[in-house]
Amino acid sequence: MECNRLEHYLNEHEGEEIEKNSELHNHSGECRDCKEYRLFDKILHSQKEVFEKAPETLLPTVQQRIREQQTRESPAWLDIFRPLLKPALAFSVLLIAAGLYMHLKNSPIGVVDNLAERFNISDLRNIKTGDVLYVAKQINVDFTLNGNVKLEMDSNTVLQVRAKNKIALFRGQLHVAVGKKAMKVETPNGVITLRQAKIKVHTTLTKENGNFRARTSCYVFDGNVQIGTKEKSSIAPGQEIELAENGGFELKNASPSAQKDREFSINPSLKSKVFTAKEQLCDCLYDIRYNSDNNPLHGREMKENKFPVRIFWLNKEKFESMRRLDEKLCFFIAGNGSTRHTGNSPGI
Amino acid sequence: MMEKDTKNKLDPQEIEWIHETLAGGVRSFDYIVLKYQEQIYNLILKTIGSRAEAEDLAQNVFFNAYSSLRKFRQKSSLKTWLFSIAFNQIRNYWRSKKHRLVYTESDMQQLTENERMYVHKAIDAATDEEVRSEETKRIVDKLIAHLPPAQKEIFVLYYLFGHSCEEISEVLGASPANIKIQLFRGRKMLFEKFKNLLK
Repeated sequence: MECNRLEHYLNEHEGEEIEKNSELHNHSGECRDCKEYRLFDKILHSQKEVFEKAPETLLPTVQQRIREQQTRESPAWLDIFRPLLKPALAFSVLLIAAGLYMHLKNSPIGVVDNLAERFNISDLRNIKTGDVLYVAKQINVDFTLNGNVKLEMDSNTVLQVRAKNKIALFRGQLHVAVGKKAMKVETPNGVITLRQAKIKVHTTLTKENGNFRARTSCYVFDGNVQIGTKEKSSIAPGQEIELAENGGFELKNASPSAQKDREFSINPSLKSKVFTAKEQLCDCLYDIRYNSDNNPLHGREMKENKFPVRIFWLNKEKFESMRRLDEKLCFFIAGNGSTRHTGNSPGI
Repeated sequence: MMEKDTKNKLDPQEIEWIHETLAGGVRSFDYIVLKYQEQIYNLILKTIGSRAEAEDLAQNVFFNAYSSLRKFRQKSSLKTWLFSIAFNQIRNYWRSKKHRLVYTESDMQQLTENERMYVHKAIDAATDEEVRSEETKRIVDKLIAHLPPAQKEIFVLYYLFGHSCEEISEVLGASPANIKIQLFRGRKMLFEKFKNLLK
């Protein structure tokens, strides 16, 4: 008798446990195929849990290897620090990245493409710590100050002379910082010493009625400022010095006597360029300088086209109107490079 | 005799041994070795067929288990975990080129005349006791030895260790359905070879 149950079952019940199907092996007239399968299945299952004894050398060998590993391993107390390894590593990486970022951020290197002109350090000799320069046009300054400082600027870039003779690029806000050591900056008009002082200069440039207005305040927030040979301790920490629209400076919240003693002038050393009303306050150089002996600063020659900065200018009408507001302000006005007015009684 | 595993449940005694071992007690790990050495050794022996290699690999299994005991998350039973390590060892063993087996029909004809006669005789009148003979053991070993490695692992666990498809899937990391299919295919193939032996 032909029996095809086994084959049928294998095909129809792929993957099922054949031995659990009683119908397969209990049908009448069992064929040879079924008998063989039954034996085959029985043989396979007959070996269930028939194990050989494990070699006796297994355990001692494992023990030996464990002992060897333990002698090679670090002391157990080091395991306490093992969970901290990964966080410590991640923290170190972050720290290095942050340090690198801060280093690059504070790096006095700025790069701008399409630079038109190059200037030597001699052209910038009169720039002092705390000076604020609005760059009139695209320039490229490549010079060395106490090391290699490469500076490149584009228009509207603020150039600031920082402590330790470092020059950095700023936009919109300036920061003068002086370290613990007193810093002396030689100028043609004497020595400015910033002793343990930190000065923060804020400069904003706004546009009103087609004209630009620059407002700069110099904020002394630590230490004294010594200008010339006399120490002016009356500029107290926290004292704010504001640059007025007319180019003068005044000490905010200072006593009238202190106000009187403080006279600042716009840097008179720069030669004029062609002046237009609209750009009068746009491109300017403020020279924060104390006129200690009412001796106006003037006479320094700057060759045309070699200094990249155009100074703050007032036309005659504006100057006259401002002069009436505050006679005490010290002005320097140069018109076409020939007319200069300085001192407490400015005039055209 | 082998203990039946409760799925995903650790024996409290084993948990104690593990904790003691992690605390530095090597002796506790000896208990683990003693408890599972026979199963691990036989698992490897039945799969690769060489006693010397089986002993070496079993050593590796326990040594690796000791080294990695800290990583044992106790989501499965200790036995399942040890079996997983054992199969990793076995697979590494197979991966080495020199141990790659070639399956030929001539290998299957290496059944002795005694074994062949035994099978013929047993077809009609074999009792359960008779089947549990040395000849049967040798025949099963030869049959399983000629399965492909993947199916061999499943066969060893299913027929020799009495694991269910679910338990095998947990050890080998395959789905139960896949285990069933592998079992079916292996069984079908072996049965064909078994019949050929009898001709």
